[in-house]
Amino acid sequence: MDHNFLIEKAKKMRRDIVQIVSSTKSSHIGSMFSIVDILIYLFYEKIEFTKENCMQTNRDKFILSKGHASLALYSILYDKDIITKDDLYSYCKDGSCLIGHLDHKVKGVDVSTGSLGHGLSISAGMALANKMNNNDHRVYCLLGDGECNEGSVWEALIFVSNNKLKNLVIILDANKLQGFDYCEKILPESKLIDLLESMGLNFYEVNGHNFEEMKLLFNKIKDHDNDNATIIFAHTIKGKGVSFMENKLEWHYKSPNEVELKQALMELQ
Amino acid sequence: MRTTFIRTLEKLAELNKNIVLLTGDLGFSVFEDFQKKFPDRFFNVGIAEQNMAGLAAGLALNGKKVFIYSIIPFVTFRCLEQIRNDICYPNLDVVIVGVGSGVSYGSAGFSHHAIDDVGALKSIPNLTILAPSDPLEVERLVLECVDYKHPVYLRLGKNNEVSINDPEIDIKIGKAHYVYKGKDIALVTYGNIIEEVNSACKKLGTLGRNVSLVSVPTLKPMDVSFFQNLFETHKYIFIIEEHNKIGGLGDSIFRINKNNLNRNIFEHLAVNDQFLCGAGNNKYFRKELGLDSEAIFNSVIRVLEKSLDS
Repeated sequence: MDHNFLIEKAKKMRRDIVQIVSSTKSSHIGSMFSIVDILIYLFYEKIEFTKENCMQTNRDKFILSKGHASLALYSILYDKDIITKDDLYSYCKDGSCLIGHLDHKVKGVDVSTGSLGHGLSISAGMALANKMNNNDHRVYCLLGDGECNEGSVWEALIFVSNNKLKNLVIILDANKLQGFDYCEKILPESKLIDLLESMGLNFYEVNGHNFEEMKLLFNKIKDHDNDNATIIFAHTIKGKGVSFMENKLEWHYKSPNEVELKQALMELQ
Repeated sequence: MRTTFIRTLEKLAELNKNIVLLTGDLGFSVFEDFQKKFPDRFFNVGIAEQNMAGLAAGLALNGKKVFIYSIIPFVTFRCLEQIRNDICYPNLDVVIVGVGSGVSYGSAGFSHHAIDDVGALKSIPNLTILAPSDPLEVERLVLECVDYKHPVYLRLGKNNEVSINDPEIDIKIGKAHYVYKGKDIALVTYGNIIEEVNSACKKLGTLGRNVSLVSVPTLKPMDVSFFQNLFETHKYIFIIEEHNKIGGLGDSIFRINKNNLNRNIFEHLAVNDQFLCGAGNNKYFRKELGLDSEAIFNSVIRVLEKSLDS
């Protein structure tokens, strides 16, 4: 698909997100903005996911393990006409199904997440079932870099590698910031990459905001008859798209006030 | 009980190709036959219970009927959040099988004891808790599990338990039952401590006290109508559990009977909100805790005498 189309989609999605987060005074906009381009790429270039097939089990699956970025996925569902604009704008409001983290009760969401370090094991279970059933459906799992502090991620990686779940693609959103510090200070990126590379998976790095790079990489994965699962270390920017949010810890929590909203919308035109 | 569990599962796995068994590196000299018969549906996932529970959720979401197995504290406490979020919230078809109820692993020490698991799990919605008392109940309940389609915690004892239930008895998920029926006095229990309770009942029988022995293999949901009938037909109700007083069967029974309309007299014999320190086999700990057959017998006699005095 034309990259301008994807770029425009990403802008529109960020505009939706910033307005909703501003109106509900909710958190995690930085974590949503870092994955918007990855989601746009996956859902418009890779994964066959439509209003018609979204309730079927027999298809490719996408698991957002960093569930606090739920609104980014809910926005995809809206854009795919699976949920309505009213649904989307009910996010975090009293009585809404669209909770601050990800909920499978929302149409099109396969797995509820919110506590970190759960999504990869669930994805591995799905990939294992696909392998046992001899179908060629893939499972895509998106993790955060901070999430890799969780021991359960490593339990899952050991299993994935040892069972050669080549139908599993793990995308790591490396936005360099976590809840209370730079990831570098908790688990340095070079160390994390060393650890991941040592797991015996097919390891790649990519700029998670560059559609051209993502396309080249995913085509490579497709063409290559992999012998094991793939892990894509996607370098991203927390708060990507709005200058004053980029690489700022506080935008893990803050929601934009009226002035900030206005400026953000201007930048996202 | 664990042998009965695996033999029953083997039979079921012949018929149901969706059955998958995951173990957290346990089952030596128990699971070898299953592994040989169904190598594609048996996975030793290693000593990694959080991953095991998450894998089970993913497998179930893609249509598998999953059993996960380990020693109770590891397959419950270690992965409690995965059970809560990944298995129970979406109400998935996963059976969590724990071995070593109560102090079955007595000498292994407190890390392996399971006297707090029911309390920890009971407050998780969608989770059915099964705690069979003998191998017969294990067999029947595992058969029931296959078509149940909801999360289940199956709390097993260990090995070499003897069945005391009549093979004709009807055992279903959600039902309590009389192992035998006496008069006015009921001893109510679950799990392999039933062997102690049964001995106490037999001894009471020699004194001319024909008591009822009630097994409660489903701890959640509770069989409310059974208990309402029990309160009407039995004045004295003894609840014996190899579990903390807090969070176990006693709490559930008292909640059903909060108004005590029939003026039942209750005695609750259980672990007194404590860790069990030091070594000892289950016989030793049951004696220490006042949960062996002699202590149960004495407790019944004491309560009856006290009641007659007043």
